[in-house]
Amino acid sequence: MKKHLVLALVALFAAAVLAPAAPAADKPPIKIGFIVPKTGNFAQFGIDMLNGFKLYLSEIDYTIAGRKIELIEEDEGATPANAVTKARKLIQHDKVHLMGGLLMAAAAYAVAPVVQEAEVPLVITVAASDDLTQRKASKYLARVSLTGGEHGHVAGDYAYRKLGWRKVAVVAMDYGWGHEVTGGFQRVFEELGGQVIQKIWTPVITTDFGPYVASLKPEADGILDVVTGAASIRLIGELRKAGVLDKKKVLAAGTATDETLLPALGDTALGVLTFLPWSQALDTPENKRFVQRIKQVTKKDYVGFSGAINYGAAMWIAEAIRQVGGDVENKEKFFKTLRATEIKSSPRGPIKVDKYGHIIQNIYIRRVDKVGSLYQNTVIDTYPAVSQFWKYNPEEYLKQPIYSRDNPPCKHC
Amino acid sequence: MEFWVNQAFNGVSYAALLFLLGGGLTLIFGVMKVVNIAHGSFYLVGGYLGVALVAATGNFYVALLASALVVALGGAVLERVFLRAVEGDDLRQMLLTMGIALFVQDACLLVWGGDPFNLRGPAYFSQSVKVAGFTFPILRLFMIGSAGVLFAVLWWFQERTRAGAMVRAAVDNAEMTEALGINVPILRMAVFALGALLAGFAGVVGSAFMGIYPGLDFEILPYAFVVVIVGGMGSLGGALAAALVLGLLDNFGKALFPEISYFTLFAPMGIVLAFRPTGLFGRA
Repeated sequence: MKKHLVLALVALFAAAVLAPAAPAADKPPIKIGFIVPKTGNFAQFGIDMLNGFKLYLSEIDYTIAGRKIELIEEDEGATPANAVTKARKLIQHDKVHLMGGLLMAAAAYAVAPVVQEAEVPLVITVAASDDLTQRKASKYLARVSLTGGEHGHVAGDYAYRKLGWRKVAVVAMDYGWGHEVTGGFQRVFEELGGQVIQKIWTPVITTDFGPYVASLKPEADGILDVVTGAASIRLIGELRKAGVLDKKKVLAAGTATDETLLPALGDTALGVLTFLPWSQALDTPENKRFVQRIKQVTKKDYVGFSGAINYGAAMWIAEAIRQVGGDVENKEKFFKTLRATEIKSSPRGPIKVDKYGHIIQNIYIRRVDKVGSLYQNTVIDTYPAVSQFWKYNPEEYLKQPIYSRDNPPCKHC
Repeated sequence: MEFWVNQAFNGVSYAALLFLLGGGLTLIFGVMKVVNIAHGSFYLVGGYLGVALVAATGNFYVALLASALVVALGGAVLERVFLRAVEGDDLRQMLLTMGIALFVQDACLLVWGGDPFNLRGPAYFSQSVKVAGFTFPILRLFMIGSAGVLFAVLWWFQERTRAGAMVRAAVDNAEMTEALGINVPILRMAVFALGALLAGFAGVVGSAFMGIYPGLDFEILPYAFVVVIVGGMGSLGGALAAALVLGLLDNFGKALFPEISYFTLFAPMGIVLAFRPTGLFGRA
């Protein structure tokens, strides 16, 4: 009798413990490899990316369609070769079903052929470089971040139509991002009738922007600034000190006033206009909720854009997994579904990708303001559902060479 | 006219920062023959401490002096504990300082995180003075002034004091100096600390000028080495002359030929090395 009771209790206990877990236990976890910089100069970006991505996963309890998600983090390191090593490790050793992350464009270019060969979907969540989803687009690659030309087009349109600029001087970093934003800007701006009258290419490591600022042509109506990271603090500081910001408007690629830079920029950046697919101050319920939640993780007042767009990336990937019912082993179906997946609302707005794998997204025009004791990028205008090809026909667009230092050429310099 | 005055002034103020940066390195180079890769780390730590101390005390000058002194102390400890253990072995010394630099880089990332900071000096740092129709930002004037004062003090110390004579003797012939009863190891530690002090000082001034963030240590290191190589190892006057030449070249190079600004900065180093391998003011 006693024995029966014990058995019954054991059976009850076992049923209680095992029952809810049973469907999940049927299948092994879905493995997602995530490559971001965790050491070196860009470590903070990597940490922010991870924070955003993991925040969404923790909200859904790391479970999609009854299967557990296992996130395997790897350090992108400082070189593309390192990223490739990590990608190989994730594919061969961990047997991941999907790869995400990547900050540096060079690393993304290096990893793309590796995932292509292994037929593992890669979702780039930051790295910006036009050709990753244009002339060198590959089948298993999708990107839900941003890219240079796409942003330049919007800025060119805004500068001509809304700001009424006709002559523009450009200060841009002398590498891919600078070339592409400037190229996209120049093409749209000059097709509308404007003139780029000066292009100053600054080395990525520029300690003193004083001489560049002093040589800006005074007849320019406004200035396009494509300088990012800590260097942006110096350039905007110099523009302020030299009085340029008091006389003219500066339109900058959004990372120039990323929320993570705002405390260091302080009053110097007040009034600077930028364009980016997100702002901490974006006034939507989804974004407000996201900002409140991510602040609990980071314990900081300011949230960078990389956290927000990685949160959206996680939402988008999870939705695709949900739609295939967790069956990520069927690679063809999974990747097809991934590319067709649409999110109606995320902190940045809707997310879907075009047939080349790049995101179609809202790009916001923002202005640096001070509200109370905090600075913010106030959203003052929205370009909805922007394509990386702007209003051009993709096939014809792709026949043009990629934007570079001299493409389009500076006819009015 | 305004263009030339502006650019020359910018160049001289940038030269001031280069001198602060390279001056310490040249002293260490001259006396210890150590290729100090950790020099950028002194700058970095100085800058971060400066930011923290300005926030804590609210006084830029207190933060400036305190940070420089803390970095000097750190330099002394480093020399005493680590560098002395591999004395006389150039390669090991260099590798050791390299290791220290990497260690400091990660430690700073851990303590201060990866977001950039801007050191907020006194309010007047963001203002300018107008003289004869030209505008001179006060921060840049402060950079020139502090580099000028430090150069004068160091020059007086090296050329006019007994301790300075000892340092000069140690640069020329360390063994003979030791044989004369001068405590060269203590001298070395003091010079290393002095070099670190200058770098820490530069870090605070530099952070007010261009902010501070991870990786800056290795970004500014080449500039420090250019100053030392062009000026000649161990020569303060050489470092000042080299800083001025480089600061002006860099400025006019950037303003007139922006595309080749690295060339205008590093080409002089190649030319000087080709014709005067010991630098403008160096002695073989």
